[in-house]
Amino acid sequence: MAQDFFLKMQAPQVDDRPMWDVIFAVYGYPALLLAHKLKIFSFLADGARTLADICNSLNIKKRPAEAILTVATSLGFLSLQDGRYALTTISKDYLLESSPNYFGFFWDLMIDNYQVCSFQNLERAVATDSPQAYGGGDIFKSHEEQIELLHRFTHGMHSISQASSLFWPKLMDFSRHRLMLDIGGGSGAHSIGAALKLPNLQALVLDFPQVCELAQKYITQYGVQDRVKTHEANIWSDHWPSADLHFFSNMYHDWPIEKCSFLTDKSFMSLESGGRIIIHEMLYNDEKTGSFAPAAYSMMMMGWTEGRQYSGLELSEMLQKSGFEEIQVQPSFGYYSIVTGLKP
Amino acid sequence: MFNLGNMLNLGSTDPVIGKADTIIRCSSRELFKYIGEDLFQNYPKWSPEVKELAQLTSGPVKLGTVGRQVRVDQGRRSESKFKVSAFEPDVRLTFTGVSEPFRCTYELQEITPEESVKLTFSFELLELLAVMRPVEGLVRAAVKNGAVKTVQNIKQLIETDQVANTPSQ
Repeated sequence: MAQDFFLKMQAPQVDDRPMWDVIFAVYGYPALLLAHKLKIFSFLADGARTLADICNSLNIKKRPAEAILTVATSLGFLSLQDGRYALTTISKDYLLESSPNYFGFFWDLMIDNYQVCSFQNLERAVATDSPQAYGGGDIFKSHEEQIELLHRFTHGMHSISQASSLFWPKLMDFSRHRLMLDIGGGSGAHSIGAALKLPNLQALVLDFPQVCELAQKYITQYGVQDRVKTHEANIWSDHWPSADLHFFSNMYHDWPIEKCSFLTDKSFMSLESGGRIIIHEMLYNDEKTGSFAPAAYSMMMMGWTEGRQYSGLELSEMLQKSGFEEIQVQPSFGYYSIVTGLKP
Repeated sequence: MFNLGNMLNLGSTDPVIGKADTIIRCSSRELFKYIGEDLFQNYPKWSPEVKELAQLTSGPVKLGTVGRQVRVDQGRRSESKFKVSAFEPDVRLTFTGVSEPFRCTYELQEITPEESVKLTFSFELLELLAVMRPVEGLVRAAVKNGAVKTVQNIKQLIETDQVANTPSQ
């Protein structure tokens, strides 16, 4: 048998790097989370340091330190010159807590819930077609624990929303809209960004009461409390206050298509004629051949939610079915896009 | 923002939807004529909660047709206007509240041509009125049960009607 096998051996048509890339992603990318947790980035905020400095100051042995630092350097989060590691633009922008675009809270959320992306957990999520994060609602957690989780979660979501919130308001002319309803708006990041970029716009963050309480703190922190308010409600069963712009960010990917259609219909019925809906998501391409980012995001949603990423075409059809017109899909910041339509 | 409601027990994240289906012994043409084209004659038959019904736009039922209904649901009287928002002959009928946040959809799927059709009915309440909120659980249950009753009633009406109209051998 073995002899037959060897006789059949032949050179492959392509090399095996993509096979290794799968493995290297599993081992390599967590090095960045470790670097973040070990506070390597904040340590380098004061200037470039040698490997020995980093090891001594952060109490990390040479072998692991070098492994982590080399991954971070190979991926562009650090540079290495004359034996000294230094922050690059991307790590200064997103990995220093002093930065207005700090992404670290979201990495914290991933670290806190790393079991969600374990192979066993994802396998269970795939097998059961149900999310595994937070045990699907752990009734045994105390109220204090729940609130702490909510805080960490909201900080995490704020982390990934700040930068993009400053870009979509400039993609089109939104100047005639007066009041934006930020549905499931969480920390209010997008309302805050919109208020900063669109001087005539007021915004209302619609979310659960406990979330609104947190949003209020962010709103005050950014000094936009005269233009951004909160509205405590359950988006599914409560009435939505009047507005001429409905905004959903990272909302549709939480839900299956039927629930997204429900939200779209509710939006259409709530808006006045001339009102606009904006859906802010990472989109599959229309052929669903990629790209990798939304495809991987769908796997993340598999672990955390009932939803998945959608293509621009799918969301456009959903909007059209509800009655929206003049539907457009526009690339926005980073991997994000907006899908928007008007109520005739 | 993920399913916070479920993850942290902050509140329900289920829309108020009742959905039910049944298989009816008839053609999709017959069924659509009964529930779609003859909506204003037959609606109170399968939905006895409808006490008054009037077509407010002229002509045959089509996309955009507007109607007015007075209903009594579990003792509560309500009046609403609705608009036909999907009218696909032999396939789908949807009517949506004009000022009330509800939507009814009837979907037809032929199982055996001319013989049997799967009817799926869904009723969606886009928001709960403040007066309903204390009894949200009851409303959800009523909506679910209402959907089951609707398809059963239509099935009984159509199949009984057929039997009555079948000449004896």
